[in-house]
Formats: sequence, C-alpha cells, structure tokens
Amino acid sequence: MADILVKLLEITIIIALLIPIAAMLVWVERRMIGIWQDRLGPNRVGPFGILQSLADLLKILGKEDWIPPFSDRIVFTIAPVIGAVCVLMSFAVIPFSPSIGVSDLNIGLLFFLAMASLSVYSVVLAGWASNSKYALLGSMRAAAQMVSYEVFMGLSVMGVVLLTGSFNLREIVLAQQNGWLIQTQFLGFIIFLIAGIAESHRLPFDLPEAETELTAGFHTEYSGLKFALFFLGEYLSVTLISAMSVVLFFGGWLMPEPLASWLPPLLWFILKILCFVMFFILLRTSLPRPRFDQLLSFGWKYMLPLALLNLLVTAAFKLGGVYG
Amino acid sequence: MGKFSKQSTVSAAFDMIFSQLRTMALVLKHTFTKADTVEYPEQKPYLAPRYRGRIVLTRDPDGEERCVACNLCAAACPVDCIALQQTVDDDGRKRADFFRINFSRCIFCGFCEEACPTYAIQLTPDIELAEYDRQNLVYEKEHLLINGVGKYHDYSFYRHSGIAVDINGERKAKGDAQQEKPPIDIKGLMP
Amino acid sequence: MSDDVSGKMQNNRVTVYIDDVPYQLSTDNNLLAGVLSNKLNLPYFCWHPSLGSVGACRQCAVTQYMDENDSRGRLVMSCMTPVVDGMRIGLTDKASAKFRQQVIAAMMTNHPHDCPVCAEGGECHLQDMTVMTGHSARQYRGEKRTFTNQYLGELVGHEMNRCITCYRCVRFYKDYAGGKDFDVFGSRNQVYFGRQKDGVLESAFSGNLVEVCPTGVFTNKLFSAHYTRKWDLQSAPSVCAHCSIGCNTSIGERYGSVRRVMNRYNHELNGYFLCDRGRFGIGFVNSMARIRTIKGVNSKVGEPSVGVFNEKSFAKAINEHSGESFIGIGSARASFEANRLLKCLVGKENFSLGYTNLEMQLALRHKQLLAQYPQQSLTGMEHRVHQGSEAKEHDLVVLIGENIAQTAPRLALTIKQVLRNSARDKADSIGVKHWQDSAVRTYAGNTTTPLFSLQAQQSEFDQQANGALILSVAQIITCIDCLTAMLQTEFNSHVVLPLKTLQSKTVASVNQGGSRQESITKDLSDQESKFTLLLASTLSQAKTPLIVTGLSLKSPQLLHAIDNLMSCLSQKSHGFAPELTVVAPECNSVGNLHFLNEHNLSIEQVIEYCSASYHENKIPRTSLLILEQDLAQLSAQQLQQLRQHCKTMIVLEHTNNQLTKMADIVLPVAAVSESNGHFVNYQGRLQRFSSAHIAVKPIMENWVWLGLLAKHLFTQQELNFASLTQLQLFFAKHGEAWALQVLTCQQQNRRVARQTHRASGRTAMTANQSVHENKTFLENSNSQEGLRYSMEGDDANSSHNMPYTWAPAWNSNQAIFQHQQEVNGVLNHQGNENLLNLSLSVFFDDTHEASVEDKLDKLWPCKVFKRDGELTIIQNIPWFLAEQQSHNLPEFVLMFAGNSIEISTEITRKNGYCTGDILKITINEQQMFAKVRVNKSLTKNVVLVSLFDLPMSINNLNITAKNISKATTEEVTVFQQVEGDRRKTAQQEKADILIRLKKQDQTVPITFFSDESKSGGNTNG
Repeated sequence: MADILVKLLEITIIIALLIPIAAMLVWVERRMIGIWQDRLGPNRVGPFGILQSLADLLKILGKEDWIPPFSDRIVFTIAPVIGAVCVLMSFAVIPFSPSIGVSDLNIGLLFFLAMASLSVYSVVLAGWASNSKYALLGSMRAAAQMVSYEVFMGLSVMGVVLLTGSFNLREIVLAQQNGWLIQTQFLGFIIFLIAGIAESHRLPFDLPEAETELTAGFHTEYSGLKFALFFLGEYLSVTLISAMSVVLFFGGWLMPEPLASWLPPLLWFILKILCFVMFFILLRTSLPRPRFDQLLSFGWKYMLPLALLNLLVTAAFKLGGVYG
Repeated sequence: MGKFSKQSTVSAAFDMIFSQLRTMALVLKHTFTKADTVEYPEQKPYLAPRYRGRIVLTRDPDGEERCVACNLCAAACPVDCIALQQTVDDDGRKRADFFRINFSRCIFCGFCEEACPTYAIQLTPDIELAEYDRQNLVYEKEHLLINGVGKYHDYSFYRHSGIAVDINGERKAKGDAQQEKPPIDIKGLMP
Repeated sequence: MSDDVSGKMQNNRVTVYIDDVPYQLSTDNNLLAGVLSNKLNLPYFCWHPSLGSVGACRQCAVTQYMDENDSRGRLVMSCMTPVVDGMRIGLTDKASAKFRQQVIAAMMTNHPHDCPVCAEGGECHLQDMTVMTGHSARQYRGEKRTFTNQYLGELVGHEMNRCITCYRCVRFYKDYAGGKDFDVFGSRNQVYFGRQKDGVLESAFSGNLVEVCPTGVFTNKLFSAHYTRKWDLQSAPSVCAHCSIGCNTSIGERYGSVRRVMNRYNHELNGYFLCDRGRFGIGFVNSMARIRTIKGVNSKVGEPSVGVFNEKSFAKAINEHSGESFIGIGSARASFEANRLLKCLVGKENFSLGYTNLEMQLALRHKQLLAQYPQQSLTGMEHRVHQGSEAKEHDLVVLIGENIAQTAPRLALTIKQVLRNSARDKADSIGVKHWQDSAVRTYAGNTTTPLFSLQAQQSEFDQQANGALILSVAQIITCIDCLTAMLQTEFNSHVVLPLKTLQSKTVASVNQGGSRQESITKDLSDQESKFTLLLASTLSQAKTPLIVTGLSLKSPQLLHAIDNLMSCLSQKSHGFAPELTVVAPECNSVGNLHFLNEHNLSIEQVIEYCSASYHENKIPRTSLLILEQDLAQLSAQQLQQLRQHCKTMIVLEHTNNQLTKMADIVLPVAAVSESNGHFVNYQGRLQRFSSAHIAVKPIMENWVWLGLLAKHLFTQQELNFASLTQLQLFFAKHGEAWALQVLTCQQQNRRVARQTHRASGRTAMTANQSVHENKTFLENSNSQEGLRYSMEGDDANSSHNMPYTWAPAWNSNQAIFQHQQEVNGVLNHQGNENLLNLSLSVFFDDTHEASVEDKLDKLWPCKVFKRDGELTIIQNIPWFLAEQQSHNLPEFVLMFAGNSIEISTEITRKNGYCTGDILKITINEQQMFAKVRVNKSLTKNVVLVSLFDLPMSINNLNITAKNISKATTEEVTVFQQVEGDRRKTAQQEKADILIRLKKQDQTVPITFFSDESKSGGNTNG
C-alpha cells in the first residue's frame, strides 16, 4: 500500500514538475529565438520575463473556450486530451536517475514507441472534428508524416537494443557505463533525432501546422484551454524526445568520472535534456520548412534505407564480435 | 533536387548537410551579438529625420501656413484619407478651410509629401499615434499645423508665386516676387 | 440628319500619311482638325474648333514631307495647312517634336509659379500641352514679365501674368461674341488682354473665357471662392434651367454643394459655349432663399431637422387634408415628368399650368406655330453648308418682337454667327476657307448677312441691322400684317416689283381690302412703311430667311400675325425655305404645351373656382397643390383672393417666393442640380437632366413628393414610384409616346460613373463625424437610372450624356474632340433625338380662323382694350435677371445697375420729367421706384422698365398714365435706401452663402451616403 502511495507521490511530483517545465520552455524558446535573431524576446513579466509563461497561461485561461458549431463536439474535446496524455504516459518509462523513475518496464522502449504512435490520433481526430479545410489538411499531413517517420524511428533504436540487449530503458542506461552509445550508434542517433523532431512536429518538420500555408493546421479551430493542451503536448514531446535521446545515446544520468561526482545524477540528466531542448530551438530558428513531398521522400528514400543500413552494420559488427 | 544530376549524390548530400550545419552555426554565433531592438517605451529608438511618421502641416519662414489647399496631396493619397477645402482669405492667400487626415486609414506612404508643391505637408519621425478611441485618430487642421518649417527651412511658396498676397503684413504686389520684373505699364508708349 | 452628314463627309475624305500610316482626313477642315479627328495627340493653343485658325501660337507644328523619299521635310503649322490628298506629315519626328517643346519652353519663360493656387490647375490646357510636348524642366533663369490685373466684375477673375498670348480670349469675346469692351493692347511680349479700364465685362458670354482660355488667366470667380479640383468634382449631365434653349451643362458637386457649371458639348444646341446666365445662374441652388425644411406640418411632426424625413409622421399630418378636392397648378420650371404626374394626380379637369387667360391663348398660338413649323437647332441655324446638309445657309435674319439677347442669350450668340454667313461666302469666293478665321475677317470686313429687327425695345442687334425699328406691340403687328399683305400681292403677281411701284400698289391693294386693313395703313408712319417695304423686298429675294420671334411680349396677336406671315412665305415656289424660331419663356414651357387642351384651367378660372366653392360652402372645399410655381403674374389682390378662398395650399418649391410665404404646407423640392427629369426645349427636344448629388432630406425630388402625396393624400398607390424610370414605364404602359421615346434613349448596359476615376470609394469627408466607413454613395440595386454616385461603372464618355469631359492626356474641356466622331461633329455615342410630338389639338381642327379666335376667347376670355393715354410697360431688365431663378444669385444682383425706366421724349415733355428723376410706378398694385432715362427712339406710349421686383412674366402691360408719377422727396430717400440695401443685402448674402457652404463642407449629412431604402425607395438618383 505504502509502495503505491509512494509511487503515486512520485508520479504526481514528476507531472507537477514536467508541466511547469514545458510551460517554461515556451518562454525559453521565445527568449532564445529573440537572442538569436538579435532581438530581446519577452522580458517584461517578472525578472527577465520569466513569468511570461504564467501570463500566457492566465491569458489563455481567460479566453473563450469556443467550440465551433460545425464541429463534432465530443471528438473535438477529446482530441487535445489524447495528445497531452500520450506524451505524459511516455514519461512513465523514463529513468530520471538511479532511484527516480515511475516504472521499469521491460518493454519501456516499445511502450514509448507505442505512445508516440497513439498521439497521432490526437492530431487526426482534431483535424477531423474541426470540420474545416485547414484543420483537415493539417491532420492528413500529420498522419502521413507520423506513419512515415515512425517506421525508421523504431528501426534507428534497434541498434541500441542490439547492443544493450534490452528494451528496458534503465538497463539501457546502465549498459552505457563503459561508454555512451553515441560512439557506436552515431548514425542511429541522427536518424532518431530527425524522426523525433518529425514526431513532435517541430520546425523544420512542422508541416501539419504550417502557418504560412494552413493558418494553424490541425488546431486552426482551437482556442482557450484546448489549444493550451496542444501547446503543452508539443513542448512536452520536445522534452520527451530530448530525454529519450539522452537515455538512449548519451548515457542518461551517467557521467564519466570525475564529472559524475560534481553534481547529482538527476541534475546531469536534466542538463543533458536542456542541451537538447536548446538544440531543438536552434533548429527552429535557423532552418526553413521543406515542402511536404520533400519531407516524405526524405523519410522514405533516405532515412529508411539509412536506418536499415545502420541496423545491418550494427548486427554484423555484433555478430563479428567487434563490440565484444 | 536537380543538383544531384550534376554532382555525385554523396558529395551533394554532404553539401546539403554542411549547409544546414553552417546555418545553425551562424545563428548560434548571434548568441553573442547585441540586440538591434531597444526596450521601447523606456528607451526611444533612433528615427531618422526623414522617417515617415505622423503627418504635419508646416509654416513658411514668415510663420504663415504653407498649405495652399491645392488638393494634390488628397489626389495622391492611395487610401483617400485626406479631405480638405480651399478658402481664399482677405490677404490673398489661399488656405485650407479645413484639412483632415484620417490616421486610422493612413498608411504613411509619404505620397502626400511627395506631391506637395509647397513643402507644406511633411511626415515626421513621430510614431506614437495610438488611441483608445478610433475617432481620435481623425486629425483636423488644428492638430496638424505646427509652428515650424519642418525639414525645409527657407522655402516660401508665395515669394515665388505670381499672385499678389500679404507677406508679413506687407503687400507683395505684382512684380515683387522672386525673379519677377516690375509690372508692365500697358499704357506706356515705349516700344 | 446625322446620316446625311457622315455620308457627305465620306466624299470629302482623302488619304493623308501621318508618320507613314494612312489616315482618312476631311478636306473641309484644316490639317490640325483632321489629325485631332483621328484622335491623335497634337498640341495646340490658338486654334479652337469653333473659332477657327489664326496660326498665332506656333504650337501645332508638324513636319510635312514632299514624298516618301523626303526624309528632311519642312515645318508647317497644321492649323494653317489645308488637307491635300496623299500628303505626308510627321508628328513624332524629332524636328517638329523639338520645335513644339521649344515653343512651350518659350511660353513658360514668363509663366508664373501659380499652379498650386490656380483655379485652372488640373484641367489646364497649358499643363496638358506642357506634359504632351515633354517640356519638363524650366531652363530659363531670367526674370518674368508681370502685369497688373483688372477687376472684370463679379463673375470672371483676371490673372494676366499667366497669359501665353494665344489670342483666344479676344477672338472669342470680340470677334465671336461681338463684345465691345474687351480687347488686346500693347506690343511684342507686353501684350495685354483686358478692358480699357477696370469694370464689369458687359457681354453675356464672358464666362466662356474661362473655358476658352487655355490657362488660368480667366477664372470662374464663384467657383474659385469655394474651390475644388476638377478631379474631385462629382458631375452629372444636366440641362440649363434658365431659358428655353436647353443648353447642355455639366454640374459639378463636392461635399454636398454645387460648385460650378461647365459646358457640356451638344452638337445640336450649345456646342462649345454657354451664356453667363446658364453658367453662373446655377448658384441659386445654394442661395439662402432655398427651402430646406418642411413647413406647415412641423407642429404635428415635431421639430424639422436637416437630413431626416419621417414618412410616417408626414403621412399622418398630410392625411388630414385627404378629404379636400385639389386643383393642381403645374409650372414651366418643373420637369416634364413632374407636371405629367401632377396632372395624373389631380385629374385633367383640375389641372392648371399656372397661366393666365392671356397666357393660355399665347401658349395655344405657340403650339400652333410649333406644330406647323419645325424649329431648327442652334447648330442647324449656324453651320448649314459646312455640315454638308442639303439646306442652304440663311441669307436673311428677321428678329421680331423678342429681345433674344435678354431672353435667350445663347440663341443671340448663334444669330451672331449666322450673320457672318455672307462674310464666309465672300471669302469662299476667292478660295479662303471658312476656318481661316483671320483671313476671312480681313477680307470680308464688316460684311454681314442682312438683318432686320422689329422690336419693342433696343437690342444689341440694332446697330448691325439693315433696318431696325422700335415700336409698340400693336405697331409691330400692324407692320407684319402689312408686310404679309405686300408679299401676298407680290407672290400672286409672280413678278418682282420695283420698290416704288410696290409701295403704291400695296397701299392700293390694301385699300381695296376691308376696313381692318385700312386702319393698318393709317397707322403706318413713313418710317414704318419704308422699313416694311425694304424688308418685303429683301424677304422676297431671300432664299432661306430665318425669322426669330418669341413669347416674351405676351401677345397672341403677334404670334398669329407671324403665323400669317409664315404661311404666306411658305406659299412661295420651290427653293424658298423660310424658317421660324420661337423663343419660349421658360425651360419647360414647350413641354407644358403637351398638356395644353380645352380642359386646362387658367389661373383666373382657378381663382373663380375657389371663390365659388368658398362662397357656396361646397364640401369638399377646394384646395391647391402648387408645383414650383410662383404665379408672379397675379396682382396682390388676386393672390389674396386665391389664398383666402382655397382651403389648403400645398406648395412644392425649392426657393422662397410669394406663394411659399402664404402656403399652409411647403414641401422642399430638389432643384435642377439635385433632381432628375426632362426639360423640353424650344424645339420640343426632350432632354434629360440628372442629379449631381442626392438632395439632403427632407428635400426630395418633385416626383418623389408627388408620389408620397399620391400615396398618403390621394391614396393612389399605383402612382408612387421608386424610380423615375418606373414612372416613365408607367406612362409608357399607358401608351404615352414621350415615355417610350425617353425609355429607349436611356437603355444602357452599364451605368456611368459620376465621379472621376481618381476617386476610390473611400473618403475622409465625413471622418470628422464618424471615423467608421460609410458605404459609399448609395446604389439602390433596383434603381435603373443611368448614372452612379461613385467612380464605379463606365467612363464618363461612354454615353452621350457625359457627366464631364475628360480624355487621357486631355484634362481640360478641350478633351471633347476625343469624344466627337470628328472635330465639331456629333458625339461618339450620340443618342436619338427625342422630339416631343406636339400635334395640333382639337382647337385647330377647324380651319376657319375666326372660329379659333372665338373659341379661344370663349374658353379663356382676355380682351385687352387699350385706352387712349395708356402706357405700355416693356421689360428691359438685363439678361442676367430676365429669369426668375437667377434673381437668387447675389452676384447677378450686384451686377444690376439699379431700377431704371426709359421714357419717350413725348412723355418727358408732357410731364416734365428729365433724366435722373426718380419716378414712382405702380404695377399690379405694387409700388416701385426707378430712375428716369429719356430715350429718343422710343414711341410715345412705350416705357421701358428695368425693375428688380418686376417679374419677367409681366410684360407688355398697359397701365394708365396716373400710375407713373414723380416721387416725393421722402420716396426718393426710400428709393435710394432700397437700392443701397439691395446691394448691401446681396453682398451680405454672398458672404452668408459662403459661410453656409463652408459649414456644410464639414457637415455633409451621413444620410447623404447611407442606404435608406426603409423610408420608401425615394433616395435613388
């Protein structure tokens, strides 16, 4: 009983921290983009504008939560919840530190992939329920994009599984005590990162919500709290992909000595995640959005063969005993 | 993708990747450059004298209204936000009886200034025009007219024009303008 | 006729190569006109389509080549070059282009830096030509010559510095319009155009200087005082309401007030010129005397406010009068449609035209004349040979009993050109073409076509006339009767008699006649018989005499005598085509003739009718519905009687007059500039006038008011129309020919824009009242009118009713050639001529003349007996006041020299008056004072009066000698005060009008724009 209570407390704490962090990311992103574009960025609310997200939250809560009369009300309401919940569920399998982590699922990696696949429902249903052209086009793109990129996302991490011999994320981290997997799985990492960006539909792969073409894509008709959920989902998934990258390729909370003793493992983990988040923001600032056909052909024609090649070479080396 | 046919696919792919990375590096470098923007209300940005902001009506060096209400600004205005009516005063000068600019529609294109033959209408580097009530964006002549010459210090239309007007309370009669000969005595017998 | 013209023209066409492209040019005109007729741009200044060429400005230079091998060519002035078959010229070659540019550059050396403050800017021919030649920057750094200006009166401003010495002004004013007080002075580059000294321009055509001058030397003072650019004007094609000629005008409006009138080219009528009454008289629509609110139903409706009309409360108030029986009084000032609708409302038995018995007879005689003798258009009189028509040009002009310079000035201008026919013929005989203006004048000198004038007062034609007599009306009639008799005798004998024998023979033959004719010869003085004989012999030798007469002397007998004369002349054998022109008193007088029949009530009968119903206490009581009528002919007593005996007096009027003061209900009616309809000119031509802007409520168009009255007062729903077209359709369905004619003419696929293409549909003109956008000038979707209150729709020139004249690169009115089929020709989109069918009514079925007279006298008895010693009052009011509406223009009042009376030496001697005395004159119980001038050429019983308060409708009136007496000293002071006050009031009103207009500029009612279809489709254009 006490175990369950402790677990519940842990879950609550993690969610209670994750959501503000995701919200803070909005401010971090705007501020960083500002700096990189030689602007100042939001700096008015609180010191350095740190409370900007709070202000945004208050504003968005104050907005009319409008459901278009032409929409499918129930689906319209459920869609954003699916998105946010799927991402939050994924965090259950992330090992934050040697002692922190909701669940040590044996199939943790598969669970993550499953949740990522489920989140496409959020986008498709939102687009469908909105009953509007932009939203539908956005969700069609999202569906195609997710389906395409999931394929090699799964394949790219198979190298990691091959080398560590486990789907359990905590074991994967522990397997990297002698060296991070980035050394051997560099190609796998790149492919995973690209697929991850596409999964969280961030720039330059934000075609489902391409503002210049589709107004706001699948969430064109959304406002108020429901829109906030989509927003939250996006930033959570940024954090999630970062966390997964760290866990799979950068040794999770592990650090080589003597660095490891300087900070507690959790902070190392968070620091690594932050670096990835910054990288995501930098991508958004610097790269233009490709055309949709370019996106798909890039996925199927280059990424998928590369992922297969990576798996093949890893398997061959493994068999050949290169990794010992 | 036409690039690929010319170069080898691999080197093209590397070019592409390098290009993206270079872009990111360039952007990253800007972490250390100073922001171009300023914290606006506390810190005023520099606006050049020829910045196209709030429109004013200026006066000539003698302190008289420059505007002769010729209607050219209104004709040039692409959004038709200027309305005016000419009137002739006892001193011979033509002035605007009313001169109205609807700033809620003005696009600050500066065509009016370009069209103005007397340098009367000028755009100034003042951009703080916001109002809570749109109606307050309709400026009448008393709001537009300033006590100064604006960007052009010496020009006085009526010193060039051939019509007779009062300048500084004195009559500028025929032949008194710049580059004018005294009026011809038509009853004179000289050939 | 236009077919004939073009057919004939085809024969005169030859091929001319312009820049190696073959064009068809007419040999009837010069090369410049030919080039312009092909819509090619060639700059010019001194040439004018109507004034001809003098070759003064050197602007229209082109290069003429010998043949196709000649690459050098030589410069020629195209306006001075006749068109020759196969000639080759260059417009775009470097030499001539450079030359033209240098000519402009030379003109610009002295042109002041005035464009921004010049009223011509934006429609300046000089600006256009400067741009066209490419002279873009002034190279000359020397000093400019200057001139002092002159005061030329209240109408035309003078800014001599701007002159480019094209001589057009003096050629128009002096040579074309016959003005004597304007000329050119000085030499070389000190040439001055003006008067000998400051003073009011005397000519009635001075306003044309504004349009004739290629730049801003002459400006419209009224327009300049409340100025706006041409591109900002919202214009509409209109018809002048100031006389019966019906000149086409273009009315320009801005900020809800009428700004000016410009000439609108009409090939048949005014051509390029208007008279000043038409050009400046439009100011009456802005006068302080305009009625702008409803009067009489106020107490029930509540305070009237401008811009608002509440139909419900109006209906409630007006409904109280629905039990009364109404007599409708129409007018010759109101549109044809409004009169027709009024007649329809009250029924033909209850309809009056507002004419007295005398005027009814006069109108019938008028109709009789019109039915028999088709009236020619002004162009028809003026350009007969040159337009290639079969008819020969007039070789004799006879003016009888109508001072056209006073009643129809534009006609007088045409007559002046007709008089030049023989000069042109003379020049033509030595090969000088008609367009060689200067050469024709030099060679032919003072040669004029014979002119005879038989008038009741002096006119400007007297000096030019081969014979001119000033007689009383009775004497004029006698003379004409005698003339008829002489001609009759001559035609019967088929021999041309020498003058001497003719005289004796005529007298003899007349003596053989009845006693009536005996009396005629008795009355003929020596002078008169000499004149008559001379006229008779000239007439008998003339081929196409033109006889001009009119109704202003109010004498049915005169018209009857003319009828006899014409029928006598018409008997003459083939090749003799006498023509008659009858000047009607007002703009729609001829239209009213259409309604004329035996049922019409004269105004005396209306009074009787009212009195009868009053005294017999009849129920329902008789009430009056008066449409734009002032009944100025009535005496004060008659008016009083009319007022007391009618139950309710409803007046529809645009300007205050004696009737609006006494009316129970006054409904403000839109003036000509704000309303739509047709006027019928002296020829019977139905001409459409359109509103330049929507009238500000509660002012509404007359037919809209009548429609509302039909709905609420007469409860005839079917007579309430949403648009004028519906009204016309209604009458067309009832088989009225005029409505069908009008409708066919109006058919148009797209509607024409009233605004220039510079307008955008957005405006800041009402932003001071509300920053929110107005829906631009409302367009009633079901309105079928041909014009829109916006810049949307077709170009102005796509219909024959052009709102304004403009063509690319031609911003001035000179652009008109771009819209003519050829220079001086008909417009590209010339519509059909709508001539009203004025068939003879039942009266004249009977050929027996005596019975007609009896019938007339029985229906509308008006025996005028002239007793011995009675004096005849003849109107001598100047042209600018010779029409009631123009009295409301302060500038015209200021031009008025003061009341004056001209009397003959006999009266002077008898009563001891002398020039400068002040006399008291009592006319229709109204006392007036006037300064005496002794006029030696007057017959003894005639007095010429020029009295401000005497309406033009009172003329040829007999008064007893007692009614004229010397004023007492107190009365003299009163007179002087009245005269002074009139000027002061006019000055004050002039200022007040300007203040009011300026206020209105900033308070353009928003209802002016917004859709108010709720309040009963009466807002459409």
